[in-house]
Amino acid sequence: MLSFQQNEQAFKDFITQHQPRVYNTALNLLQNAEDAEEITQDVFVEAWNKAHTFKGEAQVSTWLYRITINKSIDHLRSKKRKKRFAFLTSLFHDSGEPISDAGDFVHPGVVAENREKAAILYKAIDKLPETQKIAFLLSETAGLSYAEISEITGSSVSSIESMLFRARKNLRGMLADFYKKER
Amino acid sequence: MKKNQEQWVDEVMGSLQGLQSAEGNPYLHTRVLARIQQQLPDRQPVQLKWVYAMAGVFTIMLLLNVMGWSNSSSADNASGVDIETVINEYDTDNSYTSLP
Repeated sequence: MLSFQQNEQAFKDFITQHQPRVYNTALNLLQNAEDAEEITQDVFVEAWNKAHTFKGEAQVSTWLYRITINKSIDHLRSKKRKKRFAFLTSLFHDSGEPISDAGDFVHPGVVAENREKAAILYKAIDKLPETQKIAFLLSETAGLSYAEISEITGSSVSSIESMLFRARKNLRGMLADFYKKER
Repeated sequence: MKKNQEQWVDEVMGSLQGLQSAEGNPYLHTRVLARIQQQLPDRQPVQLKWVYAMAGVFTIMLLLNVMGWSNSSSADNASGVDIETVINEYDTDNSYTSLP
């Protein structure tokens, strides 16, 4: 069982140890550094508040991945709702502000010569269904095994395999369409 | 053409290889601890017994109100009968309200 209530230093060490994992997962899912920072804070506040509920059945990293993914997905859904509302209001009142803030996100850790291609890939990833997006990013960016992804998401290993197969197929389809249009 | 496309798609799909971990905020723990400190007064848990006690008090107050209202209704009816009885007893009619 985790407990930080009496030991601030232990909590600081905990943050230092797990911050890269949490931040990078949120960053890959949200494709926005500010949002990822905010979610990372939320994750550690929740870890502090709910440390007593962690019974040690799974690894701490699995538990943190779950919190990070849930919070990131909630954040994305809330953003989508706001965008829809902004679109509806823009029909009646043009504020002059852009409706979509989808930019050319590239993870800062991408190798320099791959940045342009990675930006295209991130755009395509953003269009994947939620479950496929999560499975793909955990596999490709965090380098997790099928078993680890299965434990985090609560899906079976075979469904993770299937999700990843469909994610890659969908991505290749989107990229092929992009190639035909742009090249 | 098709070969070029396949090659390009493969390159894009492989563009995340060698991805390095991004550095987060070095002062994250300070911010997290500040947020935890802010929420502490709000986190005082309300004891369940007080919730039940308040619910009980409100239920009793509601019952007393209902009982009081039903008693006053029946009292009104009873007083109505009394007035009729008095009118009959004294053999008066409604003309007592009219001016002479």
